[in-house]
Amino acid sequence: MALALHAGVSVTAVSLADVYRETFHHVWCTLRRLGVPERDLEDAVHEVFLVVHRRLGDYDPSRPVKPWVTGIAYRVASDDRRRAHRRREVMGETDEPRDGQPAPDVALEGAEARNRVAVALHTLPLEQRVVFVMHDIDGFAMPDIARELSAPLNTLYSRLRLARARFEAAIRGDGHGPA
Amino acid sequence: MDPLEPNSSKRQDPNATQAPTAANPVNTADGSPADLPPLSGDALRLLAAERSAAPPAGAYERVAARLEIPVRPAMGASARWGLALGAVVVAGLAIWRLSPGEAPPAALVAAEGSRAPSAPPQHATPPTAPGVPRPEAPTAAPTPEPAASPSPRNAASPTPTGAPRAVEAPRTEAEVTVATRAPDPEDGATRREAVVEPARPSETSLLTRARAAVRSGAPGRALRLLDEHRRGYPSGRLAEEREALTVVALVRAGRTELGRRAAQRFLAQHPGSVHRALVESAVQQNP
Repeated sequence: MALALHAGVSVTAVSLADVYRETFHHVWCTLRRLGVPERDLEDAVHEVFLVVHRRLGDYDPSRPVKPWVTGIAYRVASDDRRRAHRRREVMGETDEPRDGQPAPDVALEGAEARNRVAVALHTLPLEQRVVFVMHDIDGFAMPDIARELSAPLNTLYSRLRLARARFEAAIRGDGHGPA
Repeated sequence: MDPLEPNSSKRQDPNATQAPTAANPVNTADGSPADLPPLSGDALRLLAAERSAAPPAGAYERVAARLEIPVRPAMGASARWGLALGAVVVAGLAIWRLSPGEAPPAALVAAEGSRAPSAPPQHATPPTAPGVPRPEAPTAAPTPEPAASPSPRNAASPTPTGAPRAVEAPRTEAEVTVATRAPDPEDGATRREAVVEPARPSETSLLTRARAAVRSGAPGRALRLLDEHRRGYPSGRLAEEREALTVVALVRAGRTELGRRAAQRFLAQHPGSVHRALVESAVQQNP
C-alpha cells in the first residue's frame, strides 16, 4: 500500500523498505555528523536499518519517521564510539580522520564548508552534537527530539545552547579540541 | 539489556541546566528559551552547505542489497548505476573495484558497456521480492569451486592436491571454522587483494567478499571469509548477517545438516531478523 511517512500523515503499516527508501539519505548523513568514520558508515547504516526492522512493531506511524530513525542512529553511533574506543586501546587506531584543514584538492566551496562543519561538530560531546544536528541541521521540533532521545526538554535546550557556543567557537578557530 | 537502549541519553547532562522556566523564560514565538543564542550568519551558511551533503554513489544500492530490499528505479542521485544491473551485479562490481588491476567479470563489462550513461535504468534481471534469495549472477563466469562432496565432513574447498582442509563436522558456530590461512589457489583475487587490503580487512570487505563468493558458486571460500570475520569481529555489527550467510554457504556447500542446525540457531537468536526469509529459504530449498 502507498504510504506517506511525513509528519502528520497517518499510515497504517510501514515496511522496512518504506522506511529505507524514505530515510536512507538522512541516516547516512546523520551518522556521519555524529562522528561515525567514513570507513564504517556503510556498516553503521546497515546496522541502523537492522534495528529499524526489529523495532517496526514499536513505531507509531503518527510520529514523523525521521526523528525516530535518528534516535536509533544516535544509539548506533554511541555504540560505534564505544567500539572505536576499545579498538584504539587494542590496535592503537585513531578515530580522528579529519585534521581540521580542508583537503588540498577540495576545490568546491560546498565541500570545504562541509569539512569545516565536520571539524566543528567533532568538538562537541555526542549528547550535545545529536541535539545540534537534529535541531539546527535537520530542523526537527524539540518535542520530537525529546521524545526520541528520552530526555527532558530543558536538558535538551541546555545542550543545544552549549553546542551552539562550541560550534561557533570552533568555526571561529578558537574552539576546544575534539570532544 | 539492549545495548541500543538510550540509557546514556537518560543520564542527566552534568552541564545541563535543569532550572525550569523561571530561569529560562520561554519565547512564545517558537517555544524555545529566550536566552538561546541565535546562530551567526557564518554558522548558518556552513550548515546550509552541510544540508546538501549526500551519500556516495552506489551506497544506497549496496546497503539495500544487504537488507534484501529490492531497489526501485528513480530513487534519486544515488541510483545512478546499480539499478540497471541489479543488486547481485552491483555487489560483484564492488568486489572488482576492491581489486585494482583485476579485469572485471565479463558480464559486468557487457552490462556497463551496453548501458548509455543517461539511459533509464533497465532491469537486467527481474527484481526479487524481499527476503527471497537473489539468483546467481547470470553470466558472471564464476570460478567453479570443486564440487562439494556429498559428505558433510569434507565438503569445504579442497586444495588442488585434494587434501581436505575442512575440520571435522562442526557442532557449534566456532566449529564452522575451515582452518586455513594459506593462499587460496581457487581465488586469484584473494592474493591480489592481500596486497591492497589493510592488514585487518574491514567488516564490510569480508562480508562483501563472502556474499560474492556465495553468489558465484564458491561457498567454501565464503565460509573461510565468514570465519575470518568471526575471528576478527566476533561481536561485530555484521555478526547477524555473517551467521545468515553462513547458513546459505553451508547449504550450498552440501553441508545441509550443519546448515540446518546453523539455521535453527540463527532463527532462535534472531527471531525478528531481516535475514529470516533468506535463511529459511536456503534450508527449505535444500531439504
